Amino acid sequence: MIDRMSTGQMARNYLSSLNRVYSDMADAQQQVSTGKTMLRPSDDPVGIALSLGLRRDQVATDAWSRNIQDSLTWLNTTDRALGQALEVVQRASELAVQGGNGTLSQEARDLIAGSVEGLKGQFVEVGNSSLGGRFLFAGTATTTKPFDPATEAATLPISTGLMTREVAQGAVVAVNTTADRLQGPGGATPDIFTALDGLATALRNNDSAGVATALDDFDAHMENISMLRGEAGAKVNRLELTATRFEAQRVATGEQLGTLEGADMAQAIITFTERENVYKAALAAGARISQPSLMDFLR
Amino acid sequence: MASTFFGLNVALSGIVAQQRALNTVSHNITNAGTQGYSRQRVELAASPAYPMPGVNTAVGPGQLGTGVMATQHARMRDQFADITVRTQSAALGEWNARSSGLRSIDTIIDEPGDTGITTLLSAYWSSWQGLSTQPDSAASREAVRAAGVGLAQGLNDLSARLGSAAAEADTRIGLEVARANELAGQINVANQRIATIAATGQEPNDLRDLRDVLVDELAGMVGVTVTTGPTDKLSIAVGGQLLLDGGSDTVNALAVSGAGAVTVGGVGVTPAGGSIMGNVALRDAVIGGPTGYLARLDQLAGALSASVNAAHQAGVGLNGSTGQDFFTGTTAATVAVSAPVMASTDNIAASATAAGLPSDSDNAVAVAQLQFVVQAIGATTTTIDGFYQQVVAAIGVDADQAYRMTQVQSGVLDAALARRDSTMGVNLDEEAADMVRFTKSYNAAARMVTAVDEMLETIISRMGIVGR
Repeated sequence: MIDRMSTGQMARNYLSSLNRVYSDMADAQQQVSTGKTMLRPSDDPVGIALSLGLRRDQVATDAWSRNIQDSLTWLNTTDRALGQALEVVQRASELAVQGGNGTLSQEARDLIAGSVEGLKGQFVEVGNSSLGGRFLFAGTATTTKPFDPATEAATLPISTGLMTREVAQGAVVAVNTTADRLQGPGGATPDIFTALDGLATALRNNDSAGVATALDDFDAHMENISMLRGEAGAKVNRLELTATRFEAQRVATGEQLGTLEGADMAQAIITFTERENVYKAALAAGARISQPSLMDFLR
Repeated sequence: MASTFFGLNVALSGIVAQQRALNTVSHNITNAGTQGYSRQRVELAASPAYPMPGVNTAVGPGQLGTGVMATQHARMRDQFADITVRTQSAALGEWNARSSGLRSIDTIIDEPGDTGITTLLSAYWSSWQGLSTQPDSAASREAVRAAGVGLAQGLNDLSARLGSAAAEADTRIGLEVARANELAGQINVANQRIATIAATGQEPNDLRDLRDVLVDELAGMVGVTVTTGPTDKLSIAVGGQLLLDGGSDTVNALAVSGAGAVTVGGVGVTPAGGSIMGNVALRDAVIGGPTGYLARLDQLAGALSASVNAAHQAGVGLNGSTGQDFFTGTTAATVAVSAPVMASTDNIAASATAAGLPSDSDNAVAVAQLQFVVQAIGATTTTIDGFYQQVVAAIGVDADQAYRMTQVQSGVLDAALARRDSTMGVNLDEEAADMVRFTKSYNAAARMVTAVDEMLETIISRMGIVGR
């Protein structure tokens, strides 16, 4: 407690409180005009790291979401192409059943054999489906046709490279189906072109055992292609689930960021008004206290 | 027996003393707004009584008062309050210097913002994610290069700005050290003038005020301990070493080395606070130095460059190139996108094997995944982004602490100043009351002269004229 107050001290006290009130008011004003409480790291040193982490997560999630969208387009296009490939094999199977009918004449069998050979071209066409200038089944050699239309066989060497991308932290998926898996399940089953050739030869030679073998082969091929579709479908389901999760996450992150960085407008405006009133009162008080002195009352 | 004219002299002493007191009131009023002015007061005392006791002294009823005299022009100053003010202004000076430097760093770092390093880092990693879906696309490659250039330039820019903040602190140190030495010289001169005047028995009050203003200014720059010598000369010590020796009137130079070592007259000292110390801390510990922001930013740039390059070298570019760096430079100031990548985006190694070209994206995935790879950076084990967040948080904490300490210290200093001012400050109401008091006394003393005059008139003009 100070017993004796000098005139100069009175003025200094007044000025320093006025400055403080004024700078408080400026802070409140900034919050109202920007709508944010966190404008620089020192505004909330604890919250800033959290806020930057959330911003980082938001951008990373956006990148993963874009990767998922891109992967879904690829997988869905692959699924359509696989469906067409399945139709080709089914057609071959039908022709085998038709040609295996013992009552047919050799001319009729030769005609069917011709159709069977035509299916090879169709399969090549399906196998060379592309998306955005990239061949779906070409492995990583996306600029080379995976099936050669001239030889009606897979282009050698077959690229078995996988196209990978990250779709969530640490989760890397391969989106492409390679030509080697499309043309046959491998093992004892010949590739689709050899199987079609085998059927055509069997029909021309009226070799019913050969037709039966071809039928078995086509069954294996249909099973193989269905399995490939199933694989792609499972990936689509998983990616769609992840995308939905990211969508929810984005909303939650946005809310959290808003709470961390944003100002509660009603609160900010009330605070500003309060401080403005304090400032006005301080100004009014200053105008009065400095005026009277004993000098005014001495005659 | 007192002389006939004795009363005139008594009244005169009153007139002279009150006039002196009134002049001092006037001096106080006119200096009410002068910086560092200490209120003065004329100390009045009754002059020695008459007669002095002695063997031959005539016997009378008692001693007769002889009037009033001014014994001293007192300077109202509380030396203990001075000590508190100077200690606190040194503390405020230090925090204030730190706070103003950190406040500007706090703003230039631009976080949370759209152009800060956090945003640039995120954009960089995202561009690799984009490349992983389109490794054969020139547009995706261009995006990676552009994001890399943006990130490198962001780091260069921030490093340069932090560097210029350190350079500003350095300039301030130079100016303040020069000013402190100049002040020590001026105080030395004031010391000698005060001693000369005080030796004649005079009170050099206004010179002392002037000298205290100089000491106050010095105390804000560097923490000082002030002692007063026998001839009223001040000695000023900084961290135990005499900057100004009042005994021998010598000034030892204060110096701050480029590495932040403070010396007085060549002897190393550790001053207690002051703006010089605040700027030294800012230059050599907060921004510069092995744990400063610049060093940590360099660690970030080094870790970014090293880990991206290691992953990038393992991959194959679209043109089949292998073992290429993505970044060159290992400090925040020098990091840049490497020349091969600048020359052609085909040198960006998105594929893991040459056989997998053009659409193998394993290496792009590997680089993108670096964003969440925890590694040892500087003294911590964290991700690259996480390390930068720590730096930002540290800047926030430092700036916030410096700002709060400045607020606290300025409150403490205000209180100390108020305490000191309660002794030395001029209160105009008080002076007005004194003015009335001394004017009345002056008038009364003057009236006394008239009374004695009338008395003498009786003796001189009217006495002994009986029967005339």
